[in-house]
Amino acid sequence: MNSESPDSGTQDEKKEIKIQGTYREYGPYLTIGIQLAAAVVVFFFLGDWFDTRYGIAPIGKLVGISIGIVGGFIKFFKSVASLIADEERNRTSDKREN
Amino acid sequence: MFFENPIVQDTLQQATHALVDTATIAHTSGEHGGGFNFMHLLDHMKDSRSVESPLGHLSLPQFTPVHLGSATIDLSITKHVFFLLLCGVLLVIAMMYVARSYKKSLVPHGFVNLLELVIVFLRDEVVLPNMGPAGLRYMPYLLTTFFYILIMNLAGLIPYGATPTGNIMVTAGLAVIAFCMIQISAIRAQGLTHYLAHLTGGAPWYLWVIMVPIEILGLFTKPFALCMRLFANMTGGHIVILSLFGLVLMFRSYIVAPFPLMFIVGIYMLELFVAFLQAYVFTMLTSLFMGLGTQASSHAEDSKH
Repeated sequence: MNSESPDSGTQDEKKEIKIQGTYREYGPYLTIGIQLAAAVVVFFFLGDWFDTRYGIAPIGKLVGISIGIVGGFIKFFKSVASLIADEERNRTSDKREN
Repeated sequence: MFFENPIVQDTLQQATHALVDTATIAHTSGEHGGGFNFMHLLDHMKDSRSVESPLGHLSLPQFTPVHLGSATIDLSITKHVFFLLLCGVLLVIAMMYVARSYKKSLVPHGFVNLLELVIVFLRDEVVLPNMGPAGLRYMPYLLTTFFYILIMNLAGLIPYGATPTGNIMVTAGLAVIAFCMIQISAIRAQGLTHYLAHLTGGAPWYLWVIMVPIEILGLFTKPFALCMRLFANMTGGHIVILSLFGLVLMFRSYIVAPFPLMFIVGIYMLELFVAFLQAYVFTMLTSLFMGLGTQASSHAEDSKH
């Protein structure tokens, strides 16, 4: 069958589409690392502000860090889980097409 | 408030000490290396109150700082502001020329043809796949972003030029606009109620105290990444070129000089490519993040059916 031997133009086109697709697919997950780190840092400073404002050091910082770590991790875990689910869905649809 | 924090002040103080130490070492090594001070090369990248020209340094107009409450805002024109305005004017002139040539004839020629190629590429390969037909209404913003960033990136590659995108304030400004556009497109596509509901991240109500701030934080991390990516890429290339120039001045040898120069030409070509690539990546990711809002609304509609 000749259907599996596309000309070079089509191959270039496919490669270009693949790069675009990769960006589109992984774009939403490009910032999950920053988000995890930012969650801890921001909540730490929020806790520190509470400590200074109400004189409850170090409870504010500890609570802040705990919330940051837990919340950041939940968000990270959910993002990765949805990425895996997307990949599984793509794999299943590819198999169906073949 | 943030800068008054003792931990932040401590970190800033340590960073300043480290910077001063590095500068001192560079200066001392410069004294031993025949009067060459590497820090002088880095002055080229810093913002200043004058622009370089074949006639020497030209001073820019300075204004009295404006006081708004406790804040003092200096609206004086600096080197980067000058190039920011210059790039804006050049962009307006170029686009007016393109618009006028389309009034004369719908068949593009030369420069207009080149611009049409880029515009069509952005529409077909960036906006439509990421945002669908609904994204076409945001084309003017995305095209302006692309061409403005491109022209600013290229401004640093011409003699006596400076790269405004090598200043974090400029990239932060662009990121703030991108942030506003991402939120506006999401609210328009989903409606305010669904947009606010999306901020809970699908978590049960007892986790909202934790998840809502995290989701709100997530809204800011995307433009923050855009801002840092563009700034770091534009600064990085310039530092590499200046470091290689530093080698020529440090060794002061005709035998050594050609090798760094060869690398400089190579890096310069790479910078030329990076100027286009970063403008593309900024536009591409902005449209992608804007498209996520539209997709969220279509997912919601799908789940209703």
